[in-house]
Amino acid sequence: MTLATRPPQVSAPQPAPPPAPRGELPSAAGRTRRRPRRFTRSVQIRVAMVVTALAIVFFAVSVHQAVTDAQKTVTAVGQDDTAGIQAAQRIKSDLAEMDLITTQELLKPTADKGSLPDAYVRKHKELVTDLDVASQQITLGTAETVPLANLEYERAQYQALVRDAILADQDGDRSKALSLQQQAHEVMAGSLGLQEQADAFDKANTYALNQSYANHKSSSASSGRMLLLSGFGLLAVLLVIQLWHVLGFHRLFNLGLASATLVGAGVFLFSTARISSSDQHLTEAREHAFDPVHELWQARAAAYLARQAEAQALLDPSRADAAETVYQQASGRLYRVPDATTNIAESAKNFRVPTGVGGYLANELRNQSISAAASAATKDTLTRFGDYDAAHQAVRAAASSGKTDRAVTSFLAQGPGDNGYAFTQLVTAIYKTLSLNETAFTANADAAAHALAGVDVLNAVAALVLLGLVMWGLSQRLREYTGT
Amino acid sequence: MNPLVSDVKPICNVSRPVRMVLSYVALVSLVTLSACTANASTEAAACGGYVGHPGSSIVVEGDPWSGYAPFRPIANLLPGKLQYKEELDQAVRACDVTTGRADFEVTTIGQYLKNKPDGSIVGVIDQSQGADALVLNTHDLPYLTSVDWLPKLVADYAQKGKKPVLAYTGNSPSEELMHELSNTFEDFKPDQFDLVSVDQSASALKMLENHEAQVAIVWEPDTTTARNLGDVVAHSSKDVPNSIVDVIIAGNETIKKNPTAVQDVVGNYYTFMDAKLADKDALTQFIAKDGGLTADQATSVLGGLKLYGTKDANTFVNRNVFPLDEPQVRQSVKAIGSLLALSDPTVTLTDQMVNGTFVAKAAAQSKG
Repeated sequence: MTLATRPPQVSAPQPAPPPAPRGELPSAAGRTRRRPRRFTRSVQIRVAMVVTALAIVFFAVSVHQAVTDAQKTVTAVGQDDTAGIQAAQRIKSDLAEMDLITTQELLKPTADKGSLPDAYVRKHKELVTDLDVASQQITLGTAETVPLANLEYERAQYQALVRDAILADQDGDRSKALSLQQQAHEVMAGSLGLQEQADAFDKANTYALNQSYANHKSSSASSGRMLLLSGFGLLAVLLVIQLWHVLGFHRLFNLGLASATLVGAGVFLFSTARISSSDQHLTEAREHAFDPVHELWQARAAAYLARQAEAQALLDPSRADAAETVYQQASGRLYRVPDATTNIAESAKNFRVPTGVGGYLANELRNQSISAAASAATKDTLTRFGDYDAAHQAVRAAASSGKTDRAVTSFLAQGPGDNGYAFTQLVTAIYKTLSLNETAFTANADAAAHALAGVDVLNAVAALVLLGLVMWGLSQRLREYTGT
Repeated sequence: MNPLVSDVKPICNVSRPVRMVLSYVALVSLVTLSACTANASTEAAACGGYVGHPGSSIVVEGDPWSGYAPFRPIANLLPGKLQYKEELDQAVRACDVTTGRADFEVTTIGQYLKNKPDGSIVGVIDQSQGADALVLNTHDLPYLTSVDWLPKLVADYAQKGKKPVLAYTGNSPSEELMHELSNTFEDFKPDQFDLVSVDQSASALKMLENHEAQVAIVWEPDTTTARNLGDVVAHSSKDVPNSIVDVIIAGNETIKKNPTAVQDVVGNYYTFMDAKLADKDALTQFIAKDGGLTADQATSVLGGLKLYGTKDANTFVNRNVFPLDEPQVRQSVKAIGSLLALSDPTVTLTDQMVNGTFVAKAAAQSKG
């Protein structure tokens, strides 16, 4: 471009300037004088809009992140992994009961010739159903499919051996029946047997649950910090802008900014309260309700293992010592004392857990109980355990003194004072305590999920409202400086 | 035109210092990003293609675990032909097999699945049945005689606003054992401890000795040393059977290019083990010499190990086992791998992971 082509500068008539807004300095000639600095009021207002918008977006993203993290954990802890653990424990319980029914059938036959005992058939059907349910809940890939496939494979082998054992006994071939029962018991409790596969299924879900919960604890701490930072940050930005508005524009009140501050504070408090409430319910569910549920399921399985060991000792007295070792190990998983001279039955009934005492039932007493009813049920379970252990000693004494018939009668009988009755009372008490904890777990898991319901939607709506209010509030000022 | 409008400067028209700051931030971000990318690609390249190693000897890499003793020079499995190298870092060991810097590595099934060397399981060495252990510092805290006292230990430290220290070897069978135990037993919760990862079992033991740790996870011969100090084994690999199995891994390139060498190593290893297993005193002396232990300590080490000779190894690797009707090694790989896959989705299980032909041939030759 050359000077020759440059358009001539025409001095067109100028319109009268608008009255200068407060904050601008009118010149002596009545026209606004250009300020020497480049960061003008209108730019300042636009920067304030951008900063506030960023603070709102940061806050909304932080709330969304915290809610998403919490929801993921609630689903994993409250549904997926715990359902897997419960399924595994139900399967383990079914298996232990089937093995016990088989041994009891050989001790005192109840089935018609050519058929299996009704109790066994019922329990076997329950096992098939529980395996089916478990296979429909798979969320952990091979960690669940491998043990489930093994369980199905071994279940068929166990069933065949049990059928042959009972039919051989009905045909009067006692030694063949005992040999087959022993093989079946190996498939059940031996290395890589059914019980180990159920444990592997449980372990996979326990692993996933522990991992989810540990991740949640670390991520909830950081997302909680982020939520607080973004919330207080947003409120600070809104307050600073209002202060600037008051000092810079000499306007005491801006409806948009004031409303945005109130809405922001409300959403911040609401989200924090809801996420914190969900977290508390989840902690309650996981640490105070589910750990007992898991341990009590295991306690139930251990009780059946102890009972099975008693049955094995009566069925084959030549293996009584080995069976007693299994009984001690299994009952020790329920309750054990550090000092060999302490009477376990008496100690269990004292409801006190001195240091050094271990086992699932001791843990229940030691840990904070979910309710007074659960606490009472735990104490009752310990009393029942004490009774059962005492009844076991009586049966063992009778069997070792040659009174096998009397021992078998007490083992199977369901009258007060009998071993069979003591065992039934124990597993009933365990189940009652377990049910109370399961109910508390479900209630807390539901409450944890409920606390988060709607928070994300409210957060999104609130973010839009906040943006609208801030833009509206500041655009009033902007219009004064841009004239648009 | 409103004069105020012409007064407005675009927001992006920032001052020079601001521009400089922004440029600096952008530059730093760019450098950091490229450094991260370069680091990732260097890691990938470090374990890239097969390069082999100089020299004609067969290189085996392992660590001081008592079960690997036959591979150490004192054993002279293949005099003049076998070179044993100690490599404590399991990831590096796996990489060396992939790149051919080592022909074999001896490791656990868990570490094999985790570090994914380009190799196959060609033999089984031992199964830890108590040799890896969670040890309580009873010599400092006499009441700490079983896991049932851990609640008291944790409570005592909590009163001081602290957590008791648990020392273990990171990225090793000790870490595998810690996970196994925590997911098996309710009475052991690692999050109740201040977890300190060390480079090897001896360092964890040293922390127990120096009163720096209240609990440690160690392996033999350190488990025996800890027992001799008066410490108590609370849980061990015996409580979680089939979880820690040591195996021989041969690089797939070595298997392809030099199957005779693989057969020589496998065959000679089992011949050596058969001889030692047939003579318990010789085996005890051998383990004692390798670990610098007394005969009693070596006996204790062997009590926590199931060592495999030719016959047992062939059964473990090739024979179907009742009631699952498949070889034990495949069951172990599936059980360990499927759990590892929960935390590391890149862990995959394939049939090619086990190559039982070398053990089968060794078994056939031993029968012949």
